[in-house]
Amino acid sequence: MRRLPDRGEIDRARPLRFRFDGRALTGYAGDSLASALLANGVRLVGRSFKYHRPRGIYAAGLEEPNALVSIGRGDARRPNIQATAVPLSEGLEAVSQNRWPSLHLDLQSLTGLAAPLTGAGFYYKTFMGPNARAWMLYEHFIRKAAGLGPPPTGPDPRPAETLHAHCRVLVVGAGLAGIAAALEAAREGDSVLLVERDSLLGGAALSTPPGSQERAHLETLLTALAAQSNVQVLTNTQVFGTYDHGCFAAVEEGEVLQLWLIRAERAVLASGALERGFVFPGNDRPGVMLAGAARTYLNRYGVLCGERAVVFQNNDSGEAVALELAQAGAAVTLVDPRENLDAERRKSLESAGIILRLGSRITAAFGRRLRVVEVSGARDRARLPCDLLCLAGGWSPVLHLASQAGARPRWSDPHAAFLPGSLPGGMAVVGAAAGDFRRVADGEVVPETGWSRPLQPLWRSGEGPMAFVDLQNDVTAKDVRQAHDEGFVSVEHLKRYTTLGMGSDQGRTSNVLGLALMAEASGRTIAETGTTTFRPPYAAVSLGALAGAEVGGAFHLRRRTPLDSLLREEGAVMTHSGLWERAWYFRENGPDLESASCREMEIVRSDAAISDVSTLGKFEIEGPDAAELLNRLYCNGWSKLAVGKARWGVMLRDDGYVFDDGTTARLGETRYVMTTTTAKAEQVLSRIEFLLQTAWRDLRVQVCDVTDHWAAIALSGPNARKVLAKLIGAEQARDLPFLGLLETELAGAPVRLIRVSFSGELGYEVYCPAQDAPSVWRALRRAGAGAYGLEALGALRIEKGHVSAGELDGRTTLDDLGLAAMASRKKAFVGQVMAERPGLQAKDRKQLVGLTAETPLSSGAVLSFGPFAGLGEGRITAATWSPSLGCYLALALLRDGRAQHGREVAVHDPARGRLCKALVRDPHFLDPEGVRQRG
Amino acid sequence: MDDRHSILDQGAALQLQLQPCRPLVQVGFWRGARGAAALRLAEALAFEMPADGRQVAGFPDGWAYRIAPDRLLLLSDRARPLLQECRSAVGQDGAVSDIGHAKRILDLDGSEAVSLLTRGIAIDLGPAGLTPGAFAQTRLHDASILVHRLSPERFRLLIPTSFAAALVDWFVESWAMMQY
Amino acid sequence: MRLICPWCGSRDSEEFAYGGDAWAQRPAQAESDPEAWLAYLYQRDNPRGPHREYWQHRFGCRRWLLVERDTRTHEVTLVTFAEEVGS
Repeated sequence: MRRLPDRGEIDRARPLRFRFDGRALTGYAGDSLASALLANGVRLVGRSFKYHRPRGIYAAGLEEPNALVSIGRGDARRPNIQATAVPLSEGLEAVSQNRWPSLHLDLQSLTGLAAPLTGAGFYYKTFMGPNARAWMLYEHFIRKAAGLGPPPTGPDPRPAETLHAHCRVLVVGAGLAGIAAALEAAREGDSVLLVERDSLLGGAALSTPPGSQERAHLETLLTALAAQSNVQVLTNTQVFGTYDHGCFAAVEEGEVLQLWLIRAERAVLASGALERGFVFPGNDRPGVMLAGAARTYLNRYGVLCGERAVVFQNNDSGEAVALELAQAGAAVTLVDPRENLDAERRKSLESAGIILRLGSRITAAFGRRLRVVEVSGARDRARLPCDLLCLAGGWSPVLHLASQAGARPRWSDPHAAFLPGSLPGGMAVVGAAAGDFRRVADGEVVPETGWSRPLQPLWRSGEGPMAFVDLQNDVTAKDVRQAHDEGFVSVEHLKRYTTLGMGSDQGRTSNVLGLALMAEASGRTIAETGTTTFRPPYAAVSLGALAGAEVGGAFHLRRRTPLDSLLREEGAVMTHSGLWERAWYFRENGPDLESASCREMEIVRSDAAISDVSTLGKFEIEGPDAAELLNRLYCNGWSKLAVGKARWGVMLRDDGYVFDDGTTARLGETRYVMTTTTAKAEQVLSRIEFLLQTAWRDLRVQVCDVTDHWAAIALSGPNARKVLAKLIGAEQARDLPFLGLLETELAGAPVRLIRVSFSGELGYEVYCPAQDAPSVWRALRRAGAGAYGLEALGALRIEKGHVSAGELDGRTTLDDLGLAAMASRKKAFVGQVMAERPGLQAKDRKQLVGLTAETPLSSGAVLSFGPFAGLGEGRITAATWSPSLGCYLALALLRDGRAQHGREVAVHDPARGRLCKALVRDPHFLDPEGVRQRG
Repeated sequence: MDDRHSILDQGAALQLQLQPCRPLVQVGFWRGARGAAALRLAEALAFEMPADGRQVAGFPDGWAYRIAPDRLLLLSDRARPLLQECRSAVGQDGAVSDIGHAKRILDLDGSEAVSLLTRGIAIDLGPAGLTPGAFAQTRLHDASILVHRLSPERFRLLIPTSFAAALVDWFVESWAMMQY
Repeated sequence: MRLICPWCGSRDSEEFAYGGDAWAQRPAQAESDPEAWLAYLYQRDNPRGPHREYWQHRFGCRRWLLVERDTRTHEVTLVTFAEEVGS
């Protein structure tokens, strides 16, 4: 193996240093890691999966089964990367895998001696069924033995982004056929996206020698392509998935991970064809490689992979390889099972010094590194010394992307390959992917394939042990036979039982061989045997690329209220509530959550304070039928609500459970403004829109989302009216009744004031346009109001016994929450009929109760009267310390709870390791008559 | 955030400006009243009612977006009592809501604007897609946005006020990634 | 997956929210027979083949759409405004 001085597309002026298993090596710009390893004489690159046999580089692309390496360091390390698919870069660090303690001394290769014990279905038989416990015992050992590269444990440090692309025509693969297809579409004026996995355009033409017809054709095509402005070309980018309705995904894993989401009206798959070998004992020896790969290394990378080469073909594509190897100085023997060869071709091969062995086949290969092959003819058998064996066993079109879209491939005997079957609309397959192999051969052609002579089907050329079908998974011919003998007749079962075709190469070189042997064993044709279904991704994709930039804090975009900056300036500590950021507590009220929130509750109960409630959903409802809409949506009545008044309403779902609650005010004859809880705002809006556009099309009404237009500030406390009086005048403040609405001006801003209370104190909600919110907030603070955050807000409502998200969990009814009296009997509303069904009226449903305790209570804790069993008798939905009552409080849903007032209940909280007692009572802990809020 | 500021350096291939609030009104018509009231409004503001949800209609110092078959979004570039103008034109035949504070305007200008947008929004910005003079409502991450293409390199985005800070951060960070 | 919104054009499914089976007939608001509501809420055919479902173009025009989709192939044969279906 050596680098030739005058061959290849590499840039010898740009040497690149890299390391393989710690060894410092040098390659050139334009090399792949695999070509650079070969040029450095590295023949052994890994150990096999099951038997730990030494393996060398077998292919030159994504079909490589053996040369799996880990690239990079630390969290940037990528395991199980095919060395053939990695462009060489300065400082690249690659480590071989699946060997312990080192590549050259692998203790586990002793498993090879125990091969008869580890055949097909070994795992299933040994560790499943009655022996399942053995798996627990051996898993650690097996995982280590079968270990692929260990994955990195931290987040992927490479930056990542997602790009959206749209085109009329997507062309996958920029070989000659792909470029021609792109040009054809571009000339018709279509916008074209041409995506190529390789760093260069040209596909198989890049593997041909200088001056070849293919290269000349490529040059012409590239010149024409450069003149087209409507073609966008992506290189180093792998299209890995086909999705519904013309969607495709592609990835470029460079310094930045780029995930491309492509929408195309039409797709042309020019994804080429991959070569396969033959099955015979020792066909995995380092030095055995695909003929096309040897050609690629020779012509593209200037690496001669052996000095004494044997080329074994059953179709014409090995001849060019044999000729070019001979021209490069290798001693070459061409082995072909076919007898006939026309005189002209025979002459050209022989004059190049190639020894022909026609009517023969390779039946075995020997040597830890390939030393000798056995050639068998009809009458004779010989051993040929060699250091390179090139296999040309036929070509398999790459049909994964079409198969992912649901297209079943069909078997073609002349091609000895699966070809695209009926394709989904808007998809076409061209070039070698469609079975046109002309570009991988030359001369007079057979019409179907483009070859000069028909291929002779040949799958297994030699009998015996260690004849591999799937090199990556160490599946042998014997394993396939055994699977058949054990009754696995479906190819999908064969795949799962033997692992044939799994792994990072996805059986690209082995699937057809496996099917052929399966067909042979069952006496069926390959067409009858069928093939497995392909699913995305076609090639391995880093999870970091799929995640894109939307990781960590960028996973969601956070919504901020118009008061956000001001509250942070005032020392608010923020927390998340859905997508929203909300003020949790204010540092001015205490150094930590507990002390600050208790202080904030005290201010509300004894003085006055304000809180940012801008996150409430707000919807303007306008039209002659607005009141009718409200009547249908809410369980309570709206016909009598006067202009300038507000009302609290509860909505049910169609199935009768409680959906949401909120205050709705009447702004004018036909205009209302509805508020919803923060959590359900979008769901409520969406539901109203659904009903108006389907069942209630007769209603003349429109709903407009004004959530972001209006800031909302809750003002609560016995001194709330005094605070307000300073800003809007004592008269206006005094005249605003409970549940009254006032549109006025405050701190120069137009505001809507609604007198409602969530805390149970005298309270107002102040609505103002978003940009006016900071000045309104400041004015209220200057007028004497303290500030309180979400923690205190939640705790105050528990003291008052107001229901909120914890109780409105989609499983509670009006009656469960003590709200049965709200339901109107004079009108039909959503959920009314279903709320009457027996299950929702049952006596033993869980009902809202209050709990008091001397020790902390926590939401999620389970309640029981007797011994704790199952889900107990109920659960806590919200809990707090109550500074006003001087004890711990909770709201809970308890079976037949209203009949249990006064009883002691056990509170189990296994998650926190707590068990305590609490007293069941009415949930309205504070001011049950509502004197304060009406004050 | 300042009311109006250039978020990226002067001289960059992209300018990003968050504009102050402008008069913005949503008008909805219920079935049966669609035609007459809508035409009165179009006449009052002097725009031609867009036939579809793609073309933007201009009126003096403003824009009309037909965001749904029965809904219009009207944006004025100067201070004016747009809400009252709409109410008096529409009368009892439609719903008129002031949403001037619900949306912020984010202007993108520069040769890299398209490239930056393709990193966030999944609509076609090519010649077959959003051309100058057209608009589209779509999503950017978690947020619902309206994209109005003013010229090949100029875009006006209407973004929800509550998402404005996060979206500006998104643009600045995505821009930094493009320079990586 | 893509859906062609009759108002906004062809968009990714991420812009839409699924809204359930559109074969189910919602009873009239005044319907008091629980059987009719039970059928609407819980009885589903789950067909293999053409299916009708509701989607809302949540990040676009917010219209509710009626979509006819083949559950075997995901082929979408019809997208129309829900309010234009039936009477």
